[in-house]
Amino acid sequence: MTSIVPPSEHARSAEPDCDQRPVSIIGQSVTKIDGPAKVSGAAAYTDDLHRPRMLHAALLGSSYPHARILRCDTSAARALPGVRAVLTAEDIPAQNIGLSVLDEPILARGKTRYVGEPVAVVAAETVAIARAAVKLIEVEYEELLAVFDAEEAMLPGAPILHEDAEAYTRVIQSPFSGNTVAHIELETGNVDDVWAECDEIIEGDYIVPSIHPQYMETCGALAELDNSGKLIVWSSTQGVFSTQAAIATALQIPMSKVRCIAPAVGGGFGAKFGSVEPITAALCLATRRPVKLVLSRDEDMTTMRTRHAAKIHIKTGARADGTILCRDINIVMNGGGYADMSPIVLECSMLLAHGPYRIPNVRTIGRVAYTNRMRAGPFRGFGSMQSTFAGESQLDELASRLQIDPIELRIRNAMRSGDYHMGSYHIESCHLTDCLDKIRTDPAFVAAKAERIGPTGRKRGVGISSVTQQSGLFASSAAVRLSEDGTLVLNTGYVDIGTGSDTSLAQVCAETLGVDVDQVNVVMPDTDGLAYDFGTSADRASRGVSESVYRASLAVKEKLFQFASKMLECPPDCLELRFGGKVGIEGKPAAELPFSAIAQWGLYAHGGPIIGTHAYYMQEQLIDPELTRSVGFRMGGGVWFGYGATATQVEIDEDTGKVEVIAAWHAYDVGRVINPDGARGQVYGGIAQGISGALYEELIWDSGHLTNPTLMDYKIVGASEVPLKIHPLFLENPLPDSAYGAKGFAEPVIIGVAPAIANAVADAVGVRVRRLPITGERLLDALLHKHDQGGTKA
Amino acid sequence: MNWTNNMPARHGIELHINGETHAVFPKTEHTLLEVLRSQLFLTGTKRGCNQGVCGTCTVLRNGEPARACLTLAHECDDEEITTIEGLATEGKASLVQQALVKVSAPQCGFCMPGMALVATALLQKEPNPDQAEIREALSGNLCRCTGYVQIVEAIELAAKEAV
Repeated sequence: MTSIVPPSEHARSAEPDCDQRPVSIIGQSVTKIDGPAKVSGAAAYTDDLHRPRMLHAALLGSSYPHARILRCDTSAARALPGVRAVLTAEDIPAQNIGLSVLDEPILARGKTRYVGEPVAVVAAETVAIARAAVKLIEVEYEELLAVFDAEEAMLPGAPILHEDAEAYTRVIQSPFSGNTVAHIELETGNVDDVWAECDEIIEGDYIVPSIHPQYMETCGALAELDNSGKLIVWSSTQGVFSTQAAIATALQIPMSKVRCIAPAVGGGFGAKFGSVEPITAALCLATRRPVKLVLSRDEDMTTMRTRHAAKIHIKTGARADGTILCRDINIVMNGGGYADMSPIVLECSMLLAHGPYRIPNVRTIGRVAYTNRMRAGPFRGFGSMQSTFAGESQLDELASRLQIDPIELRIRNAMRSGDYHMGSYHIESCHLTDCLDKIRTDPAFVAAKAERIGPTGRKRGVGISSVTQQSGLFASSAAVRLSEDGTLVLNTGYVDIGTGSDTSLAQVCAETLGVDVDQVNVVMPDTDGLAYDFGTSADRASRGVSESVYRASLAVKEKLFQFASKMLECPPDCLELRFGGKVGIEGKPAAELPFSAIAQWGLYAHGGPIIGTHAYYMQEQLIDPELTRSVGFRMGGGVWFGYGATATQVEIDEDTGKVEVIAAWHAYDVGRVINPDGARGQVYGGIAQGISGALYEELIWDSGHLTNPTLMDYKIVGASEVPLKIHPLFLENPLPDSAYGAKGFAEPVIIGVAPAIANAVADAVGVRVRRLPITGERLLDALLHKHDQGGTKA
Repeated sequence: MNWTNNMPARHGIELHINGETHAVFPKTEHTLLEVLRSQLFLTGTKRGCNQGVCGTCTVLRNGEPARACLTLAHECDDEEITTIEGLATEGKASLVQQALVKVSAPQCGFCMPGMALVATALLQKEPNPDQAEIREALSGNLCRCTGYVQIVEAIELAAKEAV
């Protein structure tokens, strides 16, 4: 315990020379607080954790894409020495979980709906024994007809995956029937009435495949019991509270008996909203011993989540001057065996499908289907990557027909501040035209545009895409507590999955209270902490959580002033915060108190501990039914729409069809940059991930069996394929009425990359590929046959 | 009772890891990765694919980068192994490690140990690599967060600061 010194002593001994921080800490490339541990090997991820007497688990997955489980004999597995538990659906509560529809058992009950779906799980003394025991489990299946294509799944007579769909509890109320998980319609204006006014009409199908997030750390969990019999579950998750709720629901125990903690998390990209935690927790309860289950790469690729495969039909009508009059959009997504977040991903995809443009007439119909593949779920871009690929590819086709420069066409139609999105969401601040112009006038882009042939004689081209996405969804909170030595404890429950949020949130707290970042103790996400957070998604750190951190820090400041006022015998409005964790009297440099003295006064004399809290829910805008008609659309979005643009330069090898991205630009109105090095890192990573999805990645199934479930067979972008020149161009138009003006920007970096590449390819060699990925084979086929590849032509 | 690790019947080996000698008794099929992670609890060496593709398990065998997941522990008898835990000297991070932190290269951080070891081996061979050489050296190590850009920057910085 620090000794208590009378306040007057502190006031006398205070040094008057370091009372101001030289510059704001917001906008500084503060060293990431988790950086040193991550480069030294000390950062502990789930699989790095060990517990005494810990058991290891292994899963048995379904051999069939769609089958009834007739019999499951686990006796041989149980008899194997070293096996401590074998669980099937019969050993756990008959309770489904799910993020939008409660349709998913944690172990297949009665039937299986995709190859690899967990049917049984073993806990044993070693991984090797657990895996050996899995092989001894005998399951008798009755194979059922399966359906893999989303459109086929929604046809009459298709095999039904969920016979009990009517009985499921639905968190998200979307219209559903048969294998259709959600069928949603949105219309603003009147699309059917305006085709006759259009000088140019263009339509086509655009196809985006399933891809895997390929976080470098696979999903896993470690469950143990604490002294009170409460479950403690450490896992690779991006939302400790949703994970806690899923475990409690699945095992039918109160949330007060489950504590979830996220240690270091090796990436997530949207897809780590709950994985094997309930199964691991069930094994822990069954054995009363710590249990760890970490998926192998192929298990993760076979059983976790994919980005939604989508087939998107768009028809666009415009005047000869490029004014877009209408867009008619039809989106079909493949949801896989379980709903997961499919209805919300679909809604987001639909909301952004027509692009950030002033289009008076837009109709969007979206459907997502159950199929016998692993579930699709949230992935960076959250549905809008798929629809943006379609919409932005088609805009370039339109620009080409109308002989208008693609950037000029976008600027002519771009939304502006004060506009309404889909006739309903009021957009206070939209700087899309500035972003497009920033790229158009960037000297490197001007040079790239003029460069039609590369040094080796290969053709080059440039392409553009507008980008928009929402940020800051759902609920956040923060608790800031002053320790008796004057340092701070910051608790938000937000999981830093690699985005740098621990550091940027510490910056917000440190800036507000006038201390260095290293004075802020950012607490590991833990459901036993005070603060609640929805989870890492929708750029919530810079938009929603930072708001709570700011307001909780302000509450601490208010308490500090209240106590200091009494200690210094001076009214609170004469006090000021001084850098280095001090409160002083304005105009009297010598009269000041360090935070430690004020904290100790509270703890040991008067007033109590200094704790500031804040809770926040997004400022929800609902769609206005007068302006936009909808069937089943419920998304309370409009928290914050961000705007920007992405451009790429490509070089094509016409002998092989190989596309190389040699430069990229990303201009985005971020509101305010909190940490420049962290911010540009998000751009580099988003561009690289976008290139990977545009050129290489595709999960390929054969009769329901994933044929490429390894990184050997499923290529992701490597160091040699990322362009040397990636230009992050940040525009800073601060968000009004917010702490430091940040709008959120990291997630949408990926959204415009694929269309910008497809457009650059068309610019370079004159053929259009409407199906991702743009493999050498696909482009070569298009080049050889001089036809466009992918969807049907207008 | 076949789950204990130190069965006397097994053939013992000596691994010289980060300057310390460990006597271990791996099974024939045990990889170096399993021995490091599960027996010696040197968990800085990561398991990303267990197939030799992702590079997160990279260690240095006598100074050369190697995939611990594809290396049998018995192959390393009496060899000098450097893992990520061995890059710091007396608690002080190496130039490569410092540079990675300085340019904010780590995001999720899972690839970082492998990247740092590959970079260390590269700079020992070629103290002044150009961009292409750096990218070539990193081409066997996957990263899903960073687009590799700041990792390359860090290696350039480390090379500069070593002069």
